[in-house]
Amino acid sequence: MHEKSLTRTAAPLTLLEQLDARVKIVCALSWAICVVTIRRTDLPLVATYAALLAALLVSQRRSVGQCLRRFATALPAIAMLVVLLPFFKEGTVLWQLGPLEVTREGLYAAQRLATCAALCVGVLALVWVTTPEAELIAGLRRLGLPALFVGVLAFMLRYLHVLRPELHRLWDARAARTIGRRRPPFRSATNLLGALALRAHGRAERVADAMAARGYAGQWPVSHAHDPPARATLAAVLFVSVVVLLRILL
Amino acid sequence: MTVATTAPPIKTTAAPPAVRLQGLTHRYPDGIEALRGVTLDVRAGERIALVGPNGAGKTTLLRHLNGLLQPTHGRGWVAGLELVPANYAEIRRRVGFVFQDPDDQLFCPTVFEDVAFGPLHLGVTHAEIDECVAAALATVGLPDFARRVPQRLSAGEKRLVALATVLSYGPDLLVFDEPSAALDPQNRRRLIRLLTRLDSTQIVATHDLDLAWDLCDRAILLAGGTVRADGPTHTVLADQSLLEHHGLELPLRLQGHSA
Repeated sequence: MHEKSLTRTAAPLTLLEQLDARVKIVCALSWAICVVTIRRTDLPLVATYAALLAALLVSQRRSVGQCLRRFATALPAIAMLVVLLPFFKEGTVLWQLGPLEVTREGLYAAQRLATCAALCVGVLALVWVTTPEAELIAGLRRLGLPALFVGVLAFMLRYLHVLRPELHRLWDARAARTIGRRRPPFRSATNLLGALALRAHGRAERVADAMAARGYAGQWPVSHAHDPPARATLAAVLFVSVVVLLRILL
Repeated sequence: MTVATTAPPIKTTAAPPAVRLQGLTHRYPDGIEALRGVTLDVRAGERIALVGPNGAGKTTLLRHLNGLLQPTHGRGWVAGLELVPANYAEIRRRVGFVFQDPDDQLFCPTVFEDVAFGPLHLGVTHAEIDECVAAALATVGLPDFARRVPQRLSAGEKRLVALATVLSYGPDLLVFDEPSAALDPQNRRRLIRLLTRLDSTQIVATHDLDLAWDLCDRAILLAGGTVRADGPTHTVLADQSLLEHHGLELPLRLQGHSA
């Protein structure tokens, strides 16, 4: 069965899809550094960055929907922090809601957090949907990230494709035996997740055996035979320059 | 029909047997004794079918051959190396283990990395790795698959790539756990043709008695953790009463004759 991929699988079409994964990761990091230095009052800069992000998004014709879906998956976590922050930051009290107080500083912090998070998650979603998983992993590895970190990420992506269908099979098996009767959803869901965790544990043990059977003893040598030469493309240099210049000028 | 109940005597030759097990016993931590005093020899170049009902101890036996399990009692040798932890690195270089589920075996982001994993761990240099991977993939008939990702392969392709992951470092002994599981007839036939062409010694644990009939020249019937029969495949697998006594059936091709 061919599993649905989380990242790009088709041949590269747009400029962003053709870029080396390392270049995209470095650009995203530069973007994030510039974004987190934005002050609350830098509204022209926020608007310009948002426009730039929107332009990049629109240029990815076939990936727009996928990118928005990836962005939406991060929204609940951002929203939770943005909603809670005004109640927990000390400062001038604006409203009293029973025992809870909403402060001006809290609202400002929430506004800044929402802006930074949206801009950073947006660009990460772009990198995610325009880079195949294998290239993303290889890019992180070639940039010198710790092997353990890259290894964990690689396993997570690889076995998400195995565990997701397993969860669907568990769900189908439950549905087939309940004959239309619904159990409490929470209990049912936790039972399924428990069963999935046990299966994942068994899978992890078998994978560890498969690694040991081929000589794994703690070190993971990687072949760099197919690594493309590291070079910053003109487009990437231009992108980083524009982002940094905007940050300085606006 | 007479079936030898113990391993045939070893011919005196200079080369050690590919596998020698003497009284191998394995007890799991929960107390289940999966193997009970298994004694057998495998000569280099033999293709052996390991058959038996569920829970017979087939997989447990295979896992000892690669050092994934240690015997509770008894001893074993692979290519003259005793099955002890000090020898496991060398034993794993000489034994290629193909697991039942290819998704356990294909854990890297790309086919290239999966096929290169074994050789890179077992001493092949980075300069030689391209050649190793290309040769292994060509052997299994998938020469253009190096850049593919495992999750987008069909079950048959996954099985062949899993085989390439061990062929890439040229083991003397190939060990298969249910190699035809989840394969359609065409891919199953393709796998049998491929395994028939390989020169390595092969031990195949399987419930697919037709595959065993086609592929192997010797069959070992394992049940309850002990060897119940050991002899030529076409003798052991044609013994209806023996097979039925141990929860098996004749290969499909023989069932028409016996009906």
